[in-house]
Amino acid sequence: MTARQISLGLLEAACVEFNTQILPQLAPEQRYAGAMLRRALEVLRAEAQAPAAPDAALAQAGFGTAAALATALRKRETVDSSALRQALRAYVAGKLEIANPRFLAATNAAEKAAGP
Amino acid sequence: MTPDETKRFDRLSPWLVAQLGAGRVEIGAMTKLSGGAIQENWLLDVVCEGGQRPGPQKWVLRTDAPSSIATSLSRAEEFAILGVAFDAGVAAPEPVLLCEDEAVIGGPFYVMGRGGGTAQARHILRDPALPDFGPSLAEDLGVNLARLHRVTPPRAELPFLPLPDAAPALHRIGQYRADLNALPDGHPVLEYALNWLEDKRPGSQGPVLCHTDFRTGNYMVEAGRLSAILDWEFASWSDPDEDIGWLTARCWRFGADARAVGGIAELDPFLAGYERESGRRVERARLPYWQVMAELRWAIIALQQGERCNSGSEVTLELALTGIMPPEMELNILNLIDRIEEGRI
Repeated sequence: MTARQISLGLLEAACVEFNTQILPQLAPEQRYAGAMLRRALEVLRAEAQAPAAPDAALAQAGFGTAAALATALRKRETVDSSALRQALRAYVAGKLEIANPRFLAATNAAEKAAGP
Repeated sequence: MTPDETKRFDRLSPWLVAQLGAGRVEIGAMTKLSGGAIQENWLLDVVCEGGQRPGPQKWVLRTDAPSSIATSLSRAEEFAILGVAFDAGVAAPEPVLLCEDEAVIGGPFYVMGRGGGTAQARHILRDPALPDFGPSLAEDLGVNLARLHRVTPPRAELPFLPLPDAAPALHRIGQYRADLNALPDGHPVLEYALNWLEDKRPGSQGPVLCHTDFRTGNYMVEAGRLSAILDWEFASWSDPDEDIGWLTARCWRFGADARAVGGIAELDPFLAGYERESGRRVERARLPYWQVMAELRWAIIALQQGERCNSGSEVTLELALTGIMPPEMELNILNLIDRIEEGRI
């Protein structure tokens, strides 16, 4: 078992313990803090489970790292194109898969429903 | 209040006596309001004997939080803005007293009138009566914003408010690029949006006095009616559509996407109130541009708040979680730009 697998198992156990044993017991005035903590744990878990860093979508499309693309855009060395937009979308989707997958799914569903 | 807080406000009552010419000012209750990352707000209930404002008073005392951010106005400047807005007929809290003497409570502060009800977006949006009062509330917001936008430069009371050094949109783009320069890491979606905003900017309007944080969460609602517009620390001369774009951007609808006006109502009643009061017809086609600007701005503010935590200067979970929100605004930006470019808006 790798160190990463051990970390993932630890994080998963922490999420389960917190959600099932601690969160339901919190006093009303502690529930907001509890909800924030649950969200933080979810983000950490999603990041640990992500197959690749969000930047990878940019590199795969030939735009390098996020920092390099940001600089190129600022200098207007990279211009608007459908390839650029697709890469940016994939990059943002990768970040949202970690930070807020529910928002990503709801937004994509709404866009699909709105149609072209 | 903690013992330290009690000591901090020891000199408040004598100061109020002197300012109001009262025989006595009894502070009945002081309660610190939650939130306020940039400023502290205290509910202040007093009873004045004689003087300019005899009788019981329900006020708010507003002062700097330990870590305020550089772009917000000082309390004295905010007090002047409140005065101008109040005199223009906007439902701003009445500015009562300003104190710049740090010896009184340890920092500058002012006292203002207090609106009733709640400003909490989730309370307002979850009110079962929202379908009944939402449209009229939106119309009232439109009326109030139009009154504010009637204020144009120059104004002797507002010498501290700089005029934009370019068309308001270009001025903002310059500001936001500078903001990104001060943040670590690269943000390609925001850079892409800035280029798009620069290339697609509409003809400029104004400048007029803008609130620039006019959104659900920053106004109070009591029994379904607007009772006060809060949080004036970012007011500036700008394009009036900047305020409308901010109010109607998806990031400030709190999940109620179909209700464009801050999640409380559709756009039409708001625009009806605004246009009737201002006499200006709002070009609907301009609003998505300013919604892109709004999403971009909120993304940058969220990054700045996250950085306050990441840098170690103010480590809180709330700031850390705000710092991971920008991809939401980035997705909104990409969707908005696609819809605009494809003529779907």
